[in-house]
Amino acid sequence: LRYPFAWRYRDYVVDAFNRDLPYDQFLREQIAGDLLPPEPDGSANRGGTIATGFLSLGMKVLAEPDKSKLFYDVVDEQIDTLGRAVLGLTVACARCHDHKFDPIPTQDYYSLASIFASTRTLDGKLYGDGPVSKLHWSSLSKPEVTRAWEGHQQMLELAKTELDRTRAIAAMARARRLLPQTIDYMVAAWEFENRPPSMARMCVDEFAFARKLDYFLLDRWVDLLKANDDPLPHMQAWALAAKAGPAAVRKAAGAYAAELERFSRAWSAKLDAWQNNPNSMKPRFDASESPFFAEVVLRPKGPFALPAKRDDLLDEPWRGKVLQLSAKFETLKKTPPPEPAWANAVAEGEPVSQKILIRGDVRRPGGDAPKRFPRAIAGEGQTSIQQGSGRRELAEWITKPDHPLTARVMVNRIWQYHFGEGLVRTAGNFGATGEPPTHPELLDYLALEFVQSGWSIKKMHRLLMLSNTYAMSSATTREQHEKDPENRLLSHFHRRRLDVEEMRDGLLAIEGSLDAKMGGTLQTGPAINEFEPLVAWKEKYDPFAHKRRTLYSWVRRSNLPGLLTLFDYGDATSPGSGRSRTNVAPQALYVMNSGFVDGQALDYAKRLLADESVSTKDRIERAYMEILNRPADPSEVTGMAAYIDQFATSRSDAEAWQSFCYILMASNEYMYVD
Amino acid sequence: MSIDLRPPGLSRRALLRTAGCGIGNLALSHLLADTANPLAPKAPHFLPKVKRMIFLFMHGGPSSVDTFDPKPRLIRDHGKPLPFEKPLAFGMEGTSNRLMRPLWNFKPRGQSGIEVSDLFPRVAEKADDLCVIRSVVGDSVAHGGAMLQLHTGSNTFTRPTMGSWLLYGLGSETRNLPGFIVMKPHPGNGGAKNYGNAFLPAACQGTVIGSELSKIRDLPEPIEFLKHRRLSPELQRAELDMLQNINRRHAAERQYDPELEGRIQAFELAFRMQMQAPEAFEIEKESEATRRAYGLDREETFEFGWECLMARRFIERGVRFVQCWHGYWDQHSDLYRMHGKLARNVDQPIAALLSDLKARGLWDDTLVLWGAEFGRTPVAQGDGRDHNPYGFSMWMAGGGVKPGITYGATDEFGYHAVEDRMHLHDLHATILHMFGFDHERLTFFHGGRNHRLTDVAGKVATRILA
Repeated sequence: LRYPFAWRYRDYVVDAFNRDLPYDQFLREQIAGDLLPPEPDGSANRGGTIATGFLSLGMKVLAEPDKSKLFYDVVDEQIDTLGRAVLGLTVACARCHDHKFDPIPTQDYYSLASIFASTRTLDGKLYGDGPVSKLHWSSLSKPEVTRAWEGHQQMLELAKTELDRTRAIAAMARARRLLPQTIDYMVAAWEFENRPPSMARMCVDEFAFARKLDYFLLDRWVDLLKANDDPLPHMQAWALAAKAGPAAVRKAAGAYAAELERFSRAWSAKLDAWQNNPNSMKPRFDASESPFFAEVVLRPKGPFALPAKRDDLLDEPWRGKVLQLSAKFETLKKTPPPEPAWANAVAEGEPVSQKILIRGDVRRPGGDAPKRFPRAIAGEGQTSIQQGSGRRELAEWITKPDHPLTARVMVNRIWQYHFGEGLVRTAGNFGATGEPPTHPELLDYLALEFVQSGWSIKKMHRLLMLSNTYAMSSATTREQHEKDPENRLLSHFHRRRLDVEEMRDGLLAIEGSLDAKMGGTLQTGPAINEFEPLVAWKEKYDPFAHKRRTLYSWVRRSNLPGLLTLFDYGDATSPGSGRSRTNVAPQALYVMNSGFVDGQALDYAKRLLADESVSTKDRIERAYMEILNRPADPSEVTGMAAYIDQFATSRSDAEAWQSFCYILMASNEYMYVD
Repeated sequence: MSIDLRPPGLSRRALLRTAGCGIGNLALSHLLADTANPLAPKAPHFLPKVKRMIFLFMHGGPSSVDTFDPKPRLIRDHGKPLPFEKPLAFGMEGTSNRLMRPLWNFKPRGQSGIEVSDLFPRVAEKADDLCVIRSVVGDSVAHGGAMLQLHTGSNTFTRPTMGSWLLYGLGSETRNLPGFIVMKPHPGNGGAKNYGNAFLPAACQGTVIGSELSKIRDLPEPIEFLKHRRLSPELQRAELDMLQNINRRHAAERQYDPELEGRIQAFELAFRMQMQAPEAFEIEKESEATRRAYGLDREETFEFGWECLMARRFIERGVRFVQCWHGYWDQHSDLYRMHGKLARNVDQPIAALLSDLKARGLWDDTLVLWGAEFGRTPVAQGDGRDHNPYGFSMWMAGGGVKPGITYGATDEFGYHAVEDRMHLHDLHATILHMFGFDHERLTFFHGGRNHRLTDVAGKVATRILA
C-alpha cells in the first residue's frame, strides 16, 4: 500500500467544498500549501500540507528500476494532471516534441518540469531490498515528536543491522566448528535414509544421539539429501552415489566436503572483514560459484542456517552476544515513541536547473528551460524564478483573477456537473483539439461572475440552479430530438443517470442503513505487503461489506471492486474529464444477481411489513414515495398488488414484497433523474 | 386479474403475455434496436487472417535460453564472465556476471528441425506447428512496466490492452459471453491494468475468471453474478417481466431517449447471457478422452488444463480474446526445480490445446500466442537467472502465421536480439495485421490526441505471415 494517507487528502477536499473554500485558495493550497505559515505549535501547516496530496497521489510506477526515468515520469504525471484538471490544457503532449496542436513548445514543458523536478515527491529511499521507491511522507505532528520517532527508527535499524551481522558471523563460527565432520554427517544422513526395516521407527534424534552427532544439523542434512527423482544439477553426483552404495557415498561425501571447506575459508574471510569494519556492506556470496555451498551454509533451510529462534544452538561466546543484542532489539521494538501523523504530500526539493530533454530522453539534455510559465499565456517578458521550487509562484500565476483559463475551466466543470455536459464538452481540453464552447458568451459571463464572487463555488451552484435553463423540463419533442439530438442548444434539461456512488448510497439510504458519518479511514494499519491483504481487502472493503458512503470506500486503484468498474467509475489512475455512461449486460447482471439490490430490497420489505395493520395499498404507496419520490398512481397500486399476490402463490409473502421492492429499486425510474 | 401497467400502444394480447407472472416477454426484445452497442460486430480495415486469439501468458518470465533459444556457446563458456557490459538488470541478491549453461538439453524436433529443450517435451512434438520468435524486445526490466508494455504498449501509463483494442475494433461475436476473458490473472504487477479498457468503452474490458492466487475448484461461480441466489429462472423471468413493464411504461412517457431503451435492452441481454453462459462451463460434457488429453485427471496439470480447455470452449462460442495466465515463472533462484515444476503444469495442456484446435477446425481462425513479459539472463543469479527484456522468445501458432519456422535471433549468448528484432510494438502491429487492421489506423481520440496500441511505433513482421 503506497498511499496509506490518501484519505486525509480526500477529507480535505470534502471539507473544502463544504465550507466553500474560495477556489483560488483551494488551488494555491493544493499546489504549494506546504509553504503556508506553520501551525502555532511549530508543526507544518496541516491543511496546506495535506492539500499537496494533489501532487503526490497520481499514478507512479514506483518499481521502475530506471530511477531517472521514474523521476521524470512523476514530474510528467504532475504536469499532466495539473494541466488537464485546472487549466484544461494537454501540456504533457509537449514532453517529447512541441505540442502538435496547441502553442506549447517543449521548452515550456520543461520550464514547468523544472518546478516539479525541484519538488520532493519521492524520498530517495527504497522499500526493503527491492527496487521499489518510497513516496515522500510529510509529518503533521510537532517537530519534537517527528524527531523522536525518526531517532527511534534509526536506532531500530542500527540494532537490527548489528544483530543480523552478529548472527551471521556466529552462525558461521558454528559452521566452521562442525564443517570438518561433514563426511560423517552426510554418510549418517544416507545411513538414516537407508536404515534397516527393524529401525524404521527410529527418529533422527535417536539416530544422532547414538552417533554423537548434533541432531538439529543431522535433521537438516537428512532433509537436504533425501532421494529425489529430479535432483538439482549440483546434487546429481550425490544421487548417483546414493544409489550405488556405502563406498560410493563416502567418496562422494568427501568431494562435497572438500568443496564446502574450500568456499568456507573464503567466505569466513569476507565475514571477518565485515566484522572488523561494521560500516562496510554485508558481503555477498555468488551462488553460481558453488550452488552447493550456498544451499548448505546460506539458504535459510540449509543445514548450517539457524532460524532466529534457535540462537541457543550457537557457540559461546557468540551465543551470549547474540542473545543480548536480540533482547536489546526486541525491547526497542516494543517501546516506540508515539508515531507522528503522516500525510502523502510533497515538499521543497533540491532546486534543479532543468534542461530540455530531447525527445523526452533523460540521457539527452538540450538547452536550458528556465522556471517560468507557458509563454502562449504568460507572455515572453517573464523573469524566471530563481528561489525555491517555484510552486508558490506557479500557484499565484494560476489563480490570478485575470487568468484566461482557470476560472473558465472550473465554471465549465460546475456546469457539466449540473447539466450533464459542459459548455465546452471536453472539460479537460480547452485546446485546439477540444470542442469550442456551445455558448461562449455565457462561459465568459460565468467565469467573470465566479471571480467577482470571490471564487465561491457555492454561489456558482446557486446561480446555475436558479436559472431558467436548470428549471426546464427534461421532456423532449420530436422536433427538438431531430434538430439537436445531443441537446447542444439546451432546449430541455438532460435526463441524468445516477453515478455509481449515488446508486449505492441511495439504495442504502432508502432502506435506512446508510452510515452518514463523514471523514476518516476504513483502513486498519498500513498494509505494505502487496498481495497478502488482497483477499481480506476484497471482503472488507468491497462496498458490499460496509454501510459508509461509497466515497469512503477504500480504493485499491489497480484492482477496483466490481461494482465500481462495472458502473463507469472509470480509470482510477489518471485524470478523467467526466464519467462515461454505458448500458451493458454485466451491469444488469450485477443488479439482478449480485445480491446487493436484492438484499436492500429484502431489508426494505421487512420495514414495510413490520406494522401488520398497514394495508397493501398503503405499503405500495409508501414504497413508491420512498424509492421513486412520487406518489403511485392508482393503476400502479392495483397492478403491483396483483403482482405481489401472484408472486406469493409460489413464494412467501415476504419474498413477494421483496420482489416488488427490488423491481422499484432496479427500475429505470430509480436510476434516472428527470 | 387486471394490471394496467402496459406501455401505451401494446395490444391486449401482448398485455396478456406480459402480465403478472406470465413468461414470455421475449417477443418484445426483438422490437428493440441495438442502440449504441460498442460491441456490435464491425469489419476491420482489410481481409483478416484470424478472428480470435488465445494468449498463453507465462507470468514472471520463463528463461528463453533454457527453452526455445539454444545457445551452445553457453555450454562451452559455462562459468566464464560475460564478455560484454551487462545491461541494466533487476535483481539485487546474488547477481553475477557468470554465464550459466542451459539446464535442459536442446534437440531438433519434427520435420522443421526447430530446436526446443527437454523442458517442454510435449510442446516440442508440435514444433512443426510453431512459429518461434527468438528476438522479442521490451523496454522494462521490472515486471510491472514490462507487463503493462506487453499488454498495452506503454510501460508507464494506463492504456487499453490488446484484448480491449481487438474488441473495440471488431466487436463481439457472442452475446452470451463476454468478448474478452482473462483466466486466473495475478492481482499484482499492474493488476487489472493488464486487462483493462482504460479510455475505451467499459464494455471492452476483460472479464476475469479466478485468480492466480486461488484454485479453480475453489471458485464459487466461474463468472460473477451469473445466477440468482434464490429464485428459479422462471420466477426471475417473471420478476424481470414486471420490471420491464414498468421500465417500458416509463420510457414511453419519455420519448427520444435511447439510454432508457438501452438499459431495458441490457437487462434482456443479461438474462439471455445468464441462461446460456453456464453451458460454456460444463466441461463434464467433454469426453473422458478430451479431459484426459488436457490433463484434467491429474493434480499437476488440472489448473492449466482447465484454462486451456475453457479457452477452446470460449473461442468455439465466439469469444474474441482469451488469456490464460500461469505463474509464477520468476526464478531468480532455484530455477531448475521451479521451471521444471511449472513446465509440467503447462506442457501437456498446451500440446492438447494445439491438437484440439486442429481437430475441431478452429485452427485457421485462431491465433495462439505463448510468451511472457520478458525472458531471463544468460548469466547466473545464484542458481537462477535475472530478468532479460533485451532479447527473448515467444511462439505463435494457428491461422495467420507460418508454421515450422523460427524468426529473429539473439547474440551467441542469448542476451540481446540482434537479427529481425521484434519490439513489443512490432509484435502488436503484427497481431493487429493478422486481425485485418492497419495498426496506424486503429485509433481512439482521448486527452487531445489519437491513441494507438502501437503508440508511435510498430512494424509488421511480414515474413512470419502465412
